[in-house]
Amino acid sequence: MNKTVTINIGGLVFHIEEDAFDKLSNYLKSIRNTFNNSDGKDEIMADIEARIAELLKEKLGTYRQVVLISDVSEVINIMGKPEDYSEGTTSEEKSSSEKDETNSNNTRHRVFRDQDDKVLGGVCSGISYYFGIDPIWLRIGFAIAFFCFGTGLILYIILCLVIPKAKTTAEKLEMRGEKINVDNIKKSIYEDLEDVKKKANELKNDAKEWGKNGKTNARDFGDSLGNFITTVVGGIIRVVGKIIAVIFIFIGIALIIGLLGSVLGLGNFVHMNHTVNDITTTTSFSLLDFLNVVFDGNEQITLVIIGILLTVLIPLSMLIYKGIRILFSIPRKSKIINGTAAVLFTSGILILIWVGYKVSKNFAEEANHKETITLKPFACDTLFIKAINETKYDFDNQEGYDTHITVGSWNLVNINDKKINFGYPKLDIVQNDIDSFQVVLMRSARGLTKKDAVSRAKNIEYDFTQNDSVIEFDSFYEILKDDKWRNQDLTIILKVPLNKVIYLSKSTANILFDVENVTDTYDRKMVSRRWLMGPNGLECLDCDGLKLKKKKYHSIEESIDNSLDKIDESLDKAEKKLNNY
Amino acid sequence: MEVNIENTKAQMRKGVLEFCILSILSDGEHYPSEIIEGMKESKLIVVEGTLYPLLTRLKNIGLLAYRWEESTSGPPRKYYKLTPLGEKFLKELENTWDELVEAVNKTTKKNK
Repeated sequence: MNKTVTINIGGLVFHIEEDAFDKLSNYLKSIRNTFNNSDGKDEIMADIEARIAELLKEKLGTYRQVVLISDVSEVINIMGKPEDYSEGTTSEEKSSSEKDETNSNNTRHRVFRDQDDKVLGGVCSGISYYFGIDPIWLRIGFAIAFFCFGTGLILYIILCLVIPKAKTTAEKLEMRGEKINVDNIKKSIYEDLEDVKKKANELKNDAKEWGKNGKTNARDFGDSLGNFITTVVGGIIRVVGKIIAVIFIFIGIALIIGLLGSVLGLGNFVHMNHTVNDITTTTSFSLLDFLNVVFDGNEQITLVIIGILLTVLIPLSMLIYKGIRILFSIPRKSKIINGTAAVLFTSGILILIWVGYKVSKNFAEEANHKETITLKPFACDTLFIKAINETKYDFDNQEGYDTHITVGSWNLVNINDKKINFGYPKLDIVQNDIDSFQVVLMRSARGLTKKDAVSRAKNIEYDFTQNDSVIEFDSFYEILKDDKWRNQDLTIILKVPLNKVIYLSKSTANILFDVENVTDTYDRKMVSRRWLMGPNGLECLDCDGLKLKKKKYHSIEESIDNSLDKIDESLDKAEKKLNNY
Repeated sequence: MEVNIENTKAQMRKGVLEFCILSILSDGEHYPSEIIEGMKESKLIVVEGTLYPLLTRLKNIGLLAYRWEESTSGPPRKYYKLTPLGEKFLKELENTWDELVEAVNKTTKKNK
């Protein structure tokens, strides 16, 4: 059983088997090419088609209905091969058509989608012809790649778009042409090398001639040099082009796998392992975790993901598309693909801008929430200030890696699959105008409206404890799990009455923030000391004999000072060692 | 130099072919298949395809004219005949041909 095609030749209808149809249509095509330059081409073609119709009708007789490939062969024998036709045209046309013929007969090898042996689009089958391998391996490869977050599917679609179908017999032959295997590659490289060698020899001869005959052959020499360079450079460009194409394809595929993985939340965008006290915790975040921090609701997150996919996948797909086209030397057929890609990419950008605008509106209003707590009176004359839970979220890991991710002032930690939002409070110490210690908690946040911002600020969870003359500040504040990052911030203001003394324990170093004092001492140098609230501000009580640095606001100067100190120290040590000898 | 021989042969044949077509048509109307029959016998033409471009060319320069005639065994056929110009042309060609044959025979015999 064979498939038939219905055709109209010279006004008559024929049912013709598919292979016979391919043969006939190729035949007519090549005849048409022969007449390309002659006048009355259409008329000649009409005459020829009419005659073919007549012949076919004769062949079929009255009982047979379908034209077979043998009928077509016989008709072609009667009508003559395409090259016979050129006898009727001029000799120049003949030679040019002969040239075309040899060109197309040359075992030119191109990649096509195989329509005879296909599962989906014939991509695997076509490519396997190109490389001379069994299509089953490619099919398995694509099936595996399909489970890499659908990368295989995307790749397959790109290949389907870029590789043309093998429609005509000629194309099928080209598709099946000489296999690209090691021997053939070696052969073609040798041929190229021979070419280069030949050109090089010509060059050498010309150079010799030039030496003998002086300037007369300079032009010849220049020509051969030009030829030589063109051959070599052309070859190099072709090879480099293919290599770049392969790199394009691989980078594109790798990035697509990574992107799809992180978007779908299966792969981790950031992955951290850390060990604390011999307990290993795994901290991992997917892109979705990041998005959840900033974007409001599933709708926004979906839009952002679509936006990201469009703005990243489309260029990557185009990268692969261009790479494949260069690799298999496939000419561009239409601008539709480029146009569609541009439209999708632009819409991706527009979606991102729109969501960005929506989110930025959530930052419109800022609000502060102020909470003042008066400390209970205590017997001792000094208030001891401590910071606790320093390593709750900032693990003291030996590797020196961060254990959390940071978005603005927002930090996210994942401990044993529990995700916690936190931030670092800032402690400031000022003079109080009443005669008691007070702690002011300044919570701030942004929101769509003032009310929104206030309620969000109130959601900042923070606690400190007073135990007689000891006050303990938590090193972290936490934010409710469902709250989004809206520039939340917490400042602790410790108000110290005049002539009262405080002791800053070493642990407070991380939370002290720009504390004013009369000697302009750095926050980090203020710890482990007693400070008296004088009329002009904090005065150090036990800093005698210590060099107190001038307070600088620029960290570069600070670090220079630090390094100078270290240099001094090492100089001292060196001097001592020298003295010992 | 095989290719050149082929080319020369084709050139020679081409000129002669047109002459032959005209002389076949001098006895009346014919359609292409009939013309071919005559030429196949003399091995001037082996395949039919060659004929159509020639007929079209001769028609286009005004030496031939055709009329359509319905056929029982296929599409309508073109019946070609000589135009007055074509007849005149054929006369001249016949004269030239005789002269040419004579000249060629003389030359080639002398040189052998």
